[in-house]
Amino acid sequence: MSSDNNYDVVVIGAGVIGCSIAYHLTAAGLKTALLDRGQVGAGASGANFGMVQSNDAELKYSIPMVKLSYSRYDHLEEELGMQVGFRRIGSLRLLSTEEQWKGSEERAKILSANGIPYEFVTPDRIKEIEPMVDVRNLFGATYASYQGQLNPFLLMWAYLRRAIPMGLSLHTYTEVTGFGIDSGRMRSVRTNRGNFNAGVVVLATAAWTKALGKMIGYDWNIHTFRASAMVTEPVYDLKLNTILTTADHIEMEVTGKEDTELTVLALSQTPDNHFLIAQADRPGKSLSSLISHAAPKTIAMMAGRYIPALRPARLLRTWTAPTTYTDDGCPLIGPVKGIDGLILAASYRSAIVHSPLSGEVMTQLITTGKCEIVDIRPFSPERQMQQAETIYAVKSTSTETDDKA
Amino acid sequence: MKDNVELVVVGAGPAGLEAAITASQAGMDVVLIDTSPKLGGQYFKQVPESFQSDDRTGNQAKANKLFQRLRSSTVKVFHNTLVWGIFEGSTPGTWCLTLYGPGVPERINARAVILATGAFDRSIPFPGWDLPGVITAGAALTMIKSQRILPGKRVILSGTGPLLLEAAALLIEGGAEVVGVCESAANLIWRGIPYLPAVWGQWGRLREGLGYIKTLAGARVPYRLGSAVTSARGEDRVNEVTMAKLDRNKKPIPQSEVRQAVDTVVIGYNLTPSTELCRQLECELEFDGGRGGFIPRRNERMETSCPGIYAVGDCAGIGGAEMARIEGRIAGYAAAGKLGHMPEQSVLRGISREEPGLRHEQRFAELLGDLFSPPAALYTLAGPDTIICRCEQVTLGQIREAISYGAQSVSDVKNMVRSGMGNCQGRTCGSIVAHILAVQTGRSLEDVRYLNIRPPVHPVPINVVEEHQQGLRNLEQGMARE
Repeated sequence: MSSDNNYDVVVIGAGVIGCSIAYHLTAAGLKTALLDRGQVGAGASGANFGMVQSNDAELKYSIPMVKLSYSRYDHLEEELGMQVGFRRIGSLRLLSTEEQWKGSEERAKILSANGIPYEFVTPDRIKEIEPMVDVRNLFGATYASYQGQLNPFLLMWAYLRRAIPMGLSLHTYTEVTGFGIDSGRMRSVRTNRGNFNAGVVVLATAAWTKALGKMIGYDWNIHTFRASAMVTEPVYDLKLNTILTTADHIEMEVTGKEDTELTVLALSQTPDNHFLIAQADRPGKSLSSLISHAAPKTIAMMAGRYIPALRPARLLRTWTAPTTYTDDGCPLIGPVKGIDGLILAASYRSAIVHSPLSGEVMTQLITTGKCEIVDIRPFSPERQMQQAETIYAVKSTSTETDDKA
Repeated sequence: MKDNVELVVVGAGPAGLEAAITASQAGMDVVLIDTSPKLGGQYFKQVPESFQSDDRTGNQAKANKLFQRLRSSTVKVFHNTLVWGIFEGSTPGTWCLTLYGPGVPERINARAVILATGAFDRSIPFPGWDLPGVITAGAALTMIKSQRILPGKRVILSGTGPLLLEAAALLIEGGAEVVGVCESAANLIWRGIPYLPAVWGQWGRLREGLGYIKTLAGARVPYRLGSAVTSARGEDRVNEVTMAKLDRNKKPIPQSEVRQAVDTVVIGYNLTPSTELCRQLECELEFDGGRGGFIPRRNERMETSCPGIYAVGDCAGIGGAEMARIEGRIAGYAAAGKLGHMPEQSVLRGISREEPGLRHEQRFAELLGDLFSPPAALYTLAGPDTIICRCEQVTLGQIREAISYGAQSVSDVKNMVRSGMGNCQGRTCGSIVAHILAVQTGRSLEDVRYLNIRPPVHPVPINVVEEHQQGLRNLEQGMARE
């Protein structure tokens, strides 16, 4: 490490949020270091389908922020001077029963009223949108026609490719071991590769945020689960037009009744014809990146059940990454009370859609002391949370198991 | 079929055979799994009966003895079976292995696992290395030994290490015209002197090596120390190569370039340990260039950082068949001790009996590793259009561009340009990209790290992963339906 380890800002977590923040801070002239315990995108950012998803927004406070951030994608590739594989694509969620539709009715109303297309479609319409789907046992689907997809790795590197020549200092495989705090002010970040001095530290650390908080006596409201997925070899004779998900799920024990994989089907075909298949969720506190013995099997079962023609396709790779949610479904964004200079940007739902704006928000917050781009007060790390709609919570927290790897 | 055992041994080469025999003699319930239809692995590869030859090296006799001991043991063998995944088991302290093979259970749970998965060829890319007719030394040996196929008529070999000599000798005996052997190492004898004590007692190997050299000399094949094939050309197949002498820093000397007409090029820059299953479990690895790169960190009982997972033989660092056998026995004792089949004293006695032999083999491995390390400077042979990742068709130019964006590790490069995301998960290109990245950024090979490996080790059909046997049978009969 260079002897000059003094920075204006240290950003921890090189995912889709951290890379955007580091880019915007560097572009604003701040001397910035970006640290990650693994490679770029080692956590959930590198383990997803690259969905640029606005239909998944938390309904009470997040819609303005989601819409604004999504609009940034109109010009993002141009701004960054690099293609990140962005394309518009619809998303179709298959419903087996009327109850499943009832669970989405309110969402459809609110999203549509806010200009985010999200509608109920009949089995006949499903057949038109996605001829590959067997509609015989379906009640219908929800269809969000104006979503997007990109390559999340290219998104992260598009930011870094711009930021590094402007002076961003990137440190991968650099793990935080502690924080230097002096009379209530952030002074430095201690790592396995030396100290990084900075008056401002941003945690863009998703599932690792809770553990970092505990190092300094905070217990933020973040729950962890591990999401798993897999990818096939290119399949040329099947064509998928949307990102396809199901409301039905299957459950399979990993180490016992309290520790299970909950698997829904999520299916997407990449521009080069690989099928991405997900997802199995395993609630628990573990941050391990080892996939469970149950996940590949349950994901394969879901794929085979809904798209039998995929069965002979060969599986290239499976993976898993820890991801998060909060009780009220909102992210933790803003300064931490009690430590000057510590700021959170963590636990976004559908982080990719939030990526472009998250960097702008943090940069304004750090350079001016306030955020006027969007109202981030509802996302204050210290807010009192109320249990929100639970359809996105994986499993009630009471069954959280401490499955240390 | 029973799917809970005490010990699974993966790989039926010298290390795996010894491990399985030792553990089962101690009373353990052992399953031995191998992808090939016969015991022996690469070193003790069994050839069809009609191919049996005179067994000059005595290897066949050694191998037969080992096979005999295994057959008279209680070890259960699964042939033609791929271990495509290894996972934490459903009860703490156990491991779950998922299998793909005929008539075997889809998963098997074990309390201990000995990984003995061997090694594979290492190549260094040069313009034309992906042409048909350019093959690895291991592939050449397999073709000649077990299929009695001559890979070509006019052959040049290039690389480093004893495997190259063996391949050359067998090609000559098979009737091929070998136009030369380019060995990148120079001053072999001079540099070998400090290691003389390590060579003491390796008479069998020296005899074997001298035998190969005699065959080369008899056919008047030039053995060119300090040289390498630097490019290959051809339309549908290679028809010409350029070879060059290497300077002190192992850089090709342009004035020394010579063209040579050939129809086959055999490349073998020593071996790479097959660490995929260790990496699937995220066992801690350490870097040892002389032993083949990143290898699992082990204690003196061959146990990795994952309790109950042992790694032995070339997959834990290139060391050859004799070392593999010793390590296999040590792991066999250790696993038997761990699961209560052997009192601690007997384990210690067994291990200490192996120690002198192990130290001797380690010194010899150090010699070979030092003499025959693939030279870093040769990683500059490839041109911008040379394909580096064959699975995903990624060129050196694309890799260089990704590095220029700020990549710090092989994973960063992979995530940008897909090198290592294909069928082989970077087995071939992983260490090549590491060298390119190290040279371009000034980082060490240790610093640019290695690629993660996730299940499956090799691509497997979805219906195998869902353990849908009926579906599998239907598909085999051409009826893909529920």
